[in-house]
Formats: sequence, C-alpha cells, structure tokens
Amino acid sequence: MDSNKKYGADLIERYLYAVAKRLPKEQRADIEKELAGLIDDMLAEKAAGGEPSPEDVRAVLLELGKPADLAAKYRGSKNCLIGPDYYGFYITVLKIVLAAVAGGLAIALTIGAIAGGRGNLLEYFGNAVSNLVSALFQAFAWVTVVFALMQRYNAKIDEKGKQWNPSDLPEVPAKKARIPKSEPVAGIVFTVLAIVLFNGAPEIFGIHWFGETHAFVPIFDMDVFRSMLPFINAVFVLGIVKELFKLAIEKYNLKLAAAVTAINIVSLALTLHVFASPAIWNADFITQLQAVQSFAMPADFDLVYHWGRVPHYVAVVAVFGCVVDTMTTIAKGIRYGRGR
Amino acid sequence: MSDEQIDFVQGLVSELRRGTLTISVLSQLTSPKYGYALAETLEAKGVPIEPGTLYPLLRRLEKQGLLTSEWETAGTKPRKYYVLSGDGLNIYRQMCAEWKTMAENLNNLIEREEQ
Repeated sequence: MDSNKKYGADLIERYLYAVAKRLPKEQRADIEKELAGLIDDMLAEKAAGGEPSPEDVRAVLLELGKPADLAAKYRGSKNCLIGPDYYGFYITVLKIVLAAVAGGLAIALTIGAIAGGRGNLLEYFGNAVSNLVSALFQAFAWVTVVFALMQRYNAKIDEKGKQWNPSDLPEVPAKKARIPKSEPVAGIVFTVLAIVLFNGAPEIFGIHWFGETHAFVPIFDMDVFRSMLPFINAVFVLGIVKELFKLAIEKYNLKLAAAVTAINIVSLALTLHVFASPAIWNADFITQLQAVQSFAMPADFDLVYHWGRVPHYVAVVAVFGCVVDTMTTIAKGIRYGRGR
Repeated sequence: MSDEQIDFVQGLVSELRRGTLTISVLSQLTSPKYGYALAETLEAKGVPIEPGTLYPLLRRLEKQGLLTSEWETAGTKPRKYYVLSGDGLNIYRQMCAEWKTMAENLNNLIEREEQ
C-alpha cells in the first residue's frame, strides 16, 4: 500500500515537472503549486475520501491532458517562429531584400572584375560566388530574426494601410495552367552557368584562402570528379531538355507531366550514381581543412563522421527534390487539363 | 444520426461554447474562488469546463487585468483565489449586454425560420 502511495506521488511529481519545464521561468513555481493543489482536489474527489490509488492518479493526469498541451494552453500557444499575421509580409520583405542583395552585389562584383588588378580572374570569380552566397544567407537570417522578434513581442505592422488592389487578385486556373516563360528561361540560364562552372572551373568547389599563400581544399576528389563529368553533364543536359519541354508545351498538362517524370527519373538515377557514392567526395576534406586552418574540433559534433555521411544526405535531398518536382508537375497536369 | 454527424455537431457545439467561456468564468467570480471550486460550481450549473482549460484561462484573465488573485495559505492546502477586478467587472457587464443582444438577434433569426 505504501509503495502504491509513493508511486502515485512520484507520478504527480513527474507530471508537474513535465509541465513546468515548458513554461516561462517566472511562472513555473506558481503554476506548479496551483496545479499540485488542483491534482490534490481532483484526487480527493476521485477517491471519495479514501486513499487515492495509482489508478486514480493516472485517471486524473489523463484528464488534465498531455503535459505539452497543458503547457501550451498556459503559454497561449504562441508556438511559431513567424505566425500567420506576419507571414505574408515576411515573404514579401524577404523577396525584396534577397533580390536587392543579389542584384547589388552582382553589379559591384562585376565592376570589380572589370576594374581588375586582382590577379587570377577565375579566383576572383570563385570568391565572388562564395561572397554572394554568404551575403544571401546573411540577409535571409537577419530578415528572419527580425520577424521572429516582432512575432515574439507582438509588434504591430500596419499592413491594413495598404490599399487593396483588385488587380492583385490571382489569375483564374485556366491562365494559371500556363507556365510563364521566365521560369524555364531562368532554369536554362542557371543550368548553363552550372555547366560552365563544373567544366571550366571545378576549382571553385572547395574552400580557398587568399592569404600570403593561396591554400585550397577541394570538396571533391578531383580525379573521380573528372571521370564523372560526362554523367554530371548528362544531368544538366537533361535539365535543359526539361525546361525546353516547358517552353514548347507552354502549359501544365499530362504530356508535360509524362516528359518531366521520365526525365526526372533518369536524372535522379544519374545524380545518385555520381554523388551518392563516397568516391567522388574528398575523403580527407576535414583533415586537410585542419591542416590549413587549425581549428578545434567541436566536441559534440563529429565533423569527420558527418562528412562521411554527406553522400547519404545528398541522396536524401536529391530524392526529395525529385519527388516534389515530379509530384507537383503531375498534380498540375491532372488539375489543369488533359490532352492538347 | 450517424457517428460522423454526431462528432460534427459536437465540434460545432464546443466551438460555440468556447466563445462563452470567458463570460461564464467572469460571472462566477464576483466573490473570490479558487480554481477547483469554480470548476465545481460551473459544472453544477450545467456549464462544465475542463480544469486543463479553466486554469490557464484564469491566468490569462489575470494577466489581462480582469482578475486579481491571492494565495490563501491559512487552510490545510494552499490555494489561489481569483476575483473580478474593477476593470473586470466593467468588462463583464459589457459582455453581458453584448451577449443578450446577440442571443436575442439569434433567437429572432431562428424563430423566423421555424414559422
């Protein structure tokens, strides 16, 4: 009997702890005390004056609900980074900021390249690309942080002041089925750029230091990379063919869906063949990095292990991307019309 | 009625009820009560509220300034008593007026329909 009582008390203690740890620190003690009183009262009623059994305790806790749910009710369930109030505005701002950063930096870097005097143009270009990428990530992070803070502190943005414009209404589905030309064109431009980089400047796929001496640690095993180039190019060419289909058919239909599906399957197989096996990756990447720039290995994150897992990660991302692209094309094809 | 319909109706009813929770709680707090006693009173009067909903609601109303609270430690168990604040009483009265108009209008709608 005594052990039963102890078990019940232990269960209650664990429940209170599970709720309290999900609450803001300043409220924890008070809410815990109040809930303890509540559980006590509920138990007294359940046991009708007698000694509550472990089953009674279980029943009462079940009635109160999952600790996470109860804690969420106390917090008022403001559980998202950026909620629906801000999301639309967040996306708009994000687009503008990213476009501005990319455009501005591209212009600046082009001018820099033309002005020259910085040695190897290829090196400069590689540097420029990595600058651009890190700038975009920074912009993304900052915009997100600002909006997350606004969400948290409930700042008000007056989006209501924005005049509603009927011409902003989305197009009706018949037109929506159309593929805007810009989409395949942009796809082709980027693919061409990728072909140029992969064939002409594989050196940019790595980490460079431009100190007194130039150090370079490649991401890929360069010999394997070169032997795999035909496969990589085949993936790119398939990608261009896919965009050409979109340009030619001009709208989502079952024919396009079939073509895209076939191309995606082949190029996924090729991508996995090239990038999902460890051979193409520079096995000594982490150790080489350390040799150039000695840094302390983080204790809780096994870099070497995770670098070894990179082929798996790449495979997951490739499969995921392929599935999403194929499914959306098929779904749009089905929705927007058969034939023609 | 099928099980599905019963579930559906229950969902609508609990949605309706959710909007009235605040008025129900405020109505019983002209004199100080602790959470569990309040839950029992409400249940006895046919407006049951789960403690897991009631307790967080009491906190929220206190934070919004409609209620004030005090720990009572004299008895066998320490208990937190809640009572309407001045603001809370004003707001409660306004809510009652709003509720009455709403109920009247809704009844009009329903009764017209039944004729």
